[in-house]
Amino acid sequence: MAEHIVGPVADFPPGTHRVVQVGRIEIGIFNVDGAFHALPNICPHQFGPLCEGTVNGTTACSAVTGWQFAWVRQGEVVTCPWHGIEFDIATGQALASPRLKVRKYTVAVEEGYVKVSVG
Amino acid sequence: MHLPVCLHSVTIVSPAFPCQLDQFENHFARQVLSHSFAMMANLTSIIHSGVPARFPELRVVFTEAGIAWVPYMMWRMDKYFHEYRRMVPFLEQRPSDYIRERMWFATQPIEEPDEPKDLVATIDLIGGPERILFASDWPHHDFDNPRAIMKLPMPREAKRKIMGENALRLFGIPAPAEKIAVGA
Repeated sequence: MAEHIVGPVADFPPGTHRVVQVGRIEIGIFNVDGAFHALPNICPHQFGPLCEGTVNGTTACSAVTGWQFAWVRQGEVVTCPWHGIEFDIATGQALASPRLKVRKYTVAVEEGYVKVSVG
Repeated sequence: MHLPVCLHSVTIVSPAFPCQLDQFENHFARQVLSHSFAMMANLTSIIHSGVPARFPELRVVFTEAGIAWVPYMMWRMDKYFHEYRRMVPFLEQRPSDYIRERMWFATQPIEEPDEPKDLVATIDLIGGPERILFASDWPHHDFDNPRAIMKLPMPREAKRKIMGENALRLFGIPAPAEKIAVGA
């Protein structure tokens, strides 16, 4: 498994995400409140550029919210720009289907640089 | 009471719901569209308003629209659930999952493909024989003879479910003792 430096940590402040090229692979690097996540920039639905989508929250409505709509998980969900499918950044799991999930790459901050492992 | 809710398509061939059937020239067109469109609208209404999430014990039976429209709606609703989940966040699983667990479909007017096995495959797409209830609609013009089901290439156990066992369980009716012939 090869480790690649994708940039100084200052380029990835909390609440932002960027798509980086590692060899022939495009990877989305997400900083969610200081926790880094790396996902492939390809949606398993119809191969759209998933990580170029917006990062946002989502709606919830259940007995917990008194069956009222609530806005939850702000900053934890990326939405594919093609068909609007939402993915949990921390797990790579689509919110709407157990059949749609992207892999995660190992990403770490070492000596001031963000490093992602590919392979 | 744990009876299911049974939805009947239209008490008359409705001119208005869910589309303007007045626009069609004859009853062929109105008959083709009215019942199945009404059931598609009813199913969509139930799903989009979160009924299965709010009432997890509720069971719903769709009658008098045939069954082949159901896989289409399962796939179509799942597709748009992927895209629009934010609008229906009360749904804890895909629309097709709720359909396979909480809903039943009555056969009449049963579709009649050239290859009967295609109808068996359609039943499997809906979740299998457990989801299907025989209905005759007798004495309407498009009634179904019970033999329409009995001639399908399915195991006897599956036909027993469709022809009665599913309904006995769904409506809480005690099953009659099976008559078994012994001896000559």
